[in-house]
Amino acid sequence: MVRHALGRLVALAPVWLVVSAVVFFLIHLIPGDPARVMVGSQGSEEEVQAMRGRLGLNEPLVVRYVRWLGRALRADLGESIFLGRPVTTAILERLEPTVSLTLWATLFSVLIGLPVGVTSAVRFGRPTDRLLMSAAFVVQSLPSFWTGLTLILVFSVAVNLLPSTGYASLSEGVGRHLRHLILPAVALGLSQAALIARMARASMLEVLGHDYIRTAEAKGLRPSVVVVKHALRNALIPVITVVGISFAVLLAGAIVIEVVFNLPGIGRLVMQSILRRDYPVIQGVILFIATTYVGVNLLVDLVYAWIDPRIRYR
Amino acid sequence: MRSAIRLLSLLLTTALALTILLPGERGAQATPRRGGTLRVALTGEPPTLDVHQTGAMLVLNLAWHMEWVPDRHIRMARFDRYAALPGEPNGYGGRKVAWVDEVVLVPSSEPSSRVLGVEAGDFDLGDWIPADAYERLAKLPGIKTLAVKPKEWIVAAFNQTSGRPFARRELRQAAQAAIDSEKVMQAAIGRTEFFRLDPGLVFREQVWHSTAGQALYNQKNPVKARDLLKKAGYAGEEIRWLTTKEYEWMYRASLAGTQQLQEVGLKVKLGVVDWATLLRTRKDYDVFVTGMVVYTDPTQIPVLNCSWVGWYCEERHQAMMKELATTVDFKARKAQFEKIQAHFYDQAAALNFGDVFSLRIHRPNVQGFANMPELFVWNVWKQ
Repeated sequence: MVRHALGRLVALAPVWLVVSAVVFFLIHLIPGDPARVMVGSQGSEEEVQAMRGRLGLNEPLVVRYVRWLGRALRADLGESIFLGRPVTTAILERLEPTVSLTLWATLFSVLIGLPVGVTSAVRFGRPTDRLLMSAAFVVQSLPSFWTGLTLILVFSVAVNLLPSTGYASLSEGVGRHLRHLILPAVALGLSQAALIARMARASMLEVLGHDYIRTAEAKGLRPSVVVVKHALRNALIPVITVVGISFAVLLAGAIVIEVVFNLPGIGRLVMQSILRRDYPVIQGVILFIATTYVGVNLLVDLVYAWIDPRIRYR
Repeated sequence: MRSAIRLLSLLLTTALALTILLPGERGAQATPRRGGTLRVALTGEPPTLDVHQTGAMLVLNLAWHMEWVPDRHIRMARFDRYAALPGEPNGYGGRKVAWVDEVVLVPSSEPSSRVLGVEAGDFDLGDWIPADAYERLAKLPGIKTLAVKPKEWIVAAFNQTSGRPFARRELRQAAQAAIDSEKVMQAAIGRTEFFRLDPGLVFREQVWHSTAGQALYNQKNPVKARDLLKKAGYAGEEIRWLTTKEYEWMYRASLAGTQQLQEVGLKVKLGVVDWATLLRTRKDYDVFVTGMVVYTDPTQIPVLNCSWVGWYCEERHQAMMKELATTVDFKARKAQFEKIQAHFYDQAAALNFGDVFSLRIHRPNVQGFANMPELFVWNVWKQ
């Protein structure tokens, strides 16, 4: 397994190279000029050209790519045109809100999705099953920004129970941290909860049809023991894969929720950077997300092998 | 005697208690109080508070110890040694007092989040609120609505460089004749509380305001437009009009404006891009829409400057602008500016659709807010 893991890490290099080139050149193909955005709509062409010179935007694209790649290999992602600080610093500053949000959203989606899926599978074909799966279908179709705004309307405006905006880090107190993240985590995790519920149901149904489950029931074991001890552990394997990929998807896809709830995370950073044409930040964040995505996939594979002794990597 | 004293004491105590316990009545006297934190929801943050503008209106001379956490807030604490000017506040000038202990400016790019944040009490003041929300917000007891008057005027700038269709004056005049500004503004803004038809290149509220050239503003005359098109020798060249959805009112104004031009026979193609792309590519288009904000002097108005994209560099206009810039006496300058404005319409240098007002909201306990076009929070206190 160690050799497999190392092999996967080495394979990350070409992936990284391709992603960096695609991101760099694609972004520069989009019309728009950070110098013009900085100078403003009322600025003159001379001011814009002067700004371009200061920002080094007049050099050939290939030269700029090679220079950027060389620095990126030394973990120097350049400096943000707008923030005036290293891109690495900008990302690290915003990592905590995004990771916190993603973790809580993932936890919420598992805590809701797994029991719903298992219940649905155990009550297969009955009204409970149909109700739960219909609800999952509807919830998965809801756009997250709508869910977010609705939660704000109910819990912040109507009953004034939770804040509608902003972020408090863990160092400011667990209670305060949770109060700011409950609504965004629910908004973000709800559709993933529905996905996990459907996945868990499908996986449980497959496992519940096996002979050893019938044997366990015939032995007189309580239904809860059959489901939890025998069926669930085997049904979890594909679910873990979905949860792992969900985490990576949520990490990359928290942009909308971060904008709605005003969370100072990576998603909002990349969105604002795209609008401003802050090339170094866009490149750095996308590279970071791609690296994280590959890393999470590797981790899921390793956990998979650890849970299921039948799986061995050569 | 003792009973009388007791009764008098009771009456005085009750009167004092009522004064303390009835803030509504005390609020009516609007006595400023020091203290508290003012949280303001804005559209963006430095280096551009609005991602589409440079510059920021901060309470810098009243604040010290500024903490900027990117994407989270700018927090400013009051500078206690600042001495306010004597007298009364007067718009951007006059007496400025920092009543609150702290001002926290929070970037919140999503308009719904700003609105809900003020409703929930997480913000005290919200800027650039969508006008569509006005009717609902005006009915809420926990919200005060303010129309920011004036804010901008919508302009469709022609690209007048040589070889372009709108280098020809008659073609520009044809477009100007075709436009029904009221319909454009209704499409762009919707609510009549938030727009105004006015030919002025500066706003009614300013000393420079003039109605010179009014006869050529909002002509809504398609017959005249078609005649002018024939005179211009228009041969069906495609007119490329650029706009953006990032400012919804620019997009809607463009939809209405392009339709009116098409109805008189101009072949118009609408390009919709994001703001950064618009800024970069507008020089390659024939028309683009933007807003002119409040300027204190007409020489600052971009659409009147030859170096600004649009390139209104007509000789007589240039000469008049030079004279305006070198004249000192206000009356003479005002008279000169009126000629410039009249000439602007004669030349159809650009299309002025009308004035736009924006919407701000705040909590009822926020007092002393001046609601000028550029936001500032000196003299503001929280009841």
